[in-house]
Amino acid sequence: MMALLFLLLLFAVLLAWSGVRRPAIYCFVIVLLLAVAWFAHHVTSHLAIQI
Amino acid sequence: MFAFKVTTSERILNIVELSGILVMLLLAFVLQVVLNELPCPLCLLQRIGFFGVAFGFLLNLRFGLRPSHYAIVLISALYTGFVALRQIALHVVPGSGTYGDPVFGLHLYTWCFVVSMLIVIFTTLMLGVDRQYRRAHHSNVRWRYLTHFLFIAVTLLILTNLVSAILECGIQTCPDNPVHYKLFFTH
Repeated sequence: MMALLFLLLLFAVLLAWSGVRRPAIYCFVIVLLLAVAWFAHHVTSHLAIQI
Repeated sequence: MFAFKVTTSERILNIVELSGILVMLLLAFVLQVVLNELPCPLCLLQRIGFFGVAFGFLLNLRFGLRPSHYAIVLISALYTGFVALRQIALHVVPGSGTYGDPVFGLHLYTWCFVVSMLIVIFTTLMLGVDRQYRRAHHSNVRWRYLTHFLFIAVTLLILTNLVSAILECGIQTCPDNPVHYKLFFTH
């Protein structure tokens, strides 16, 4: 999962570098959403809360 | 094609903050390799948050200063702060242990929280400087080279973290308290 996040992040940076702003930002938004979801999963699994 | 629309001082401040974040991420990686302090899942999420901050500043340098780019910096810094705060909360009770060795008296996750809050304050102040959004095209070759260099640095750092994450966790969920690289010790 972490590797996937880094891979998508790398893709976003490469898109920005190549000059395509909007797709780069969309790619980054996906990274952020996945990272938030992963953080939420980590918190809830530790606190044993089911949501 | 580069189209810089920024005044020099704001551009320099962006570069300074981006360089600071890159140095910090590099130090974290050096500590990981030299002291064999493997990053936990929350540590990796904090790194991703800082890379998000770096991404926002890179967009500023590549496409000109825009509030939307600062928004990316702010949301990434807030995310990093929340993750760091979660890790602080895990170890705040005396006797609950810590993760890693302290650096200058504070653990890395505490430093992460402090730095992310400083980024929030700094970026909020930068966001309020209206003159940077005026259109002033002055493309300079040296700035282009510097921007390319920063893109290369960020790309290399993400690549090293990607390889490290694969070595540490494989394609599975990372262990909460990693002690060795999973791909090196398959038994």
